[in-house]
Amino acid sequence: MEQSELKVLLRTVKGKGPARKLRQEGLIPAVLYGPKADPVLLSLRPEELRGALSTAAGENVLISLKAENNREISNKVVMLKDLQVDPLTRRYIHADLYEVVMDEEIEVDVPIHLQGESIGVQEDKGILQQVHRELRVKCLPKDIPEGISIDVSELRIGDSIHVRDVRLEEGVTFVDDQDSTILTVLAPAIEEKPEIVVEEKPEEAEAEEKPAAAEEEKSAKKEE
Amino acid sequence: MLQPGKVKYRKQQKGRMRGKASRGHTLNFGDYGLQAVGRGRMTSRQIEAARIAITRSVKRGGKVWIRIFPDKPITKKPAETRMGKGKGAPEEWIVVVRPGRILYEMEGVSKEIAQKAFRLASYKLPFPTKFISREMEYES
Repeated sequence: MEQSELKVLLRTVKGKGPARKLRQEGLIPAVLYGPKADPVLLSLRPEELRGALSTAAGENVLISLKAENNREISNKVVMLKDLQVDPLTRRYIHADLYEVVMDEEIEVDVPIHLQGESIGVQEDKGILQQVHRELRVKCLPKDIPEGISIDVSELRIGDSIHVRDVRLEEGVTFVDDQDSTILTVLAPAIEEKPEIVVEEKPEEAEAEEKPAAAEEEKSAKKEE
Repeated sequence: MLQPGKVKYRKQQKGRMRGKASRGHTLNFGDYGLQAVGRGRMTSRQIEAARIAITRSVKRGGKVWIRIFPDKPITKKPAETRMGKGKGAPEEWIVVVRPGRILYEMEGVSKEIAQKAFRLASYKLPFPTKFISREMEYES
């Protein structure tokens, strides 16, 4: 499995103010924790994190930490547990790093890669609806698959692929329900006919509405 | 038009719309989406108008998801009424949209068709929006 490196710095300050200051300096706050270690506050450069994550495995990559000011943290193998991103600018805000124990199984989300184009879409103009884009698997950190490839070329309208239809490598098991649907080919949607909507209400209707509204207010007052 | 079937309380306080969207800001269903850049109130009529604009533009094929639901009642006093005498009657249902919120998602169409449909839908909305796609999310 591919392993990338990431330079980190130890951080002593914490809280909203110092975190904002860090971001102004071009760093982002991060935290390192794991099943057998106390949490450690870190800071790192977002572009270096982006570089570390830009592998074929995506966010499931094993990362080896390099800390200039701390030997304890250096060479620790971690994974990205959570990444907070600004919803508009997509800038990184905060990262959670999880120290992995190489001989203990972990649960990760593995992306699904579709292969080919289904017959139902090409010939019958159906819609391929992908219900799941990632599947949760359990395995040792070294066995994490880069992706799960599914061949969709034989699918016709109404066909679907479930978790039970997908084969995984040895040592990797699904956490998700075996019966859950991964993707399905839907029949094409029928074109919607334009509706004629009458915006203006007739005067009689308005006149009827006024007493009704008055009654409603009265009943509301009674309730109070 | 979208509106809750049953509510516990008929009227709500006005509230504020500070900050950015903390949920519903990533594409979850489709390949393309319409994301709010500004903030504002979106009424159930506007949600429906934009949805119709999308489905008419797409014509055949494609699946559309509406990612917002108007669950906030807005009250209004009748015309030519003096102030006071209590809060007005519920008039319409709205959803408070903060920057970053995904409003609609689409799948099963080409990028160009999705862009055109969302552009037409954005004309119905009271705040600026932008087109996003799954590729763009991964690139950034």
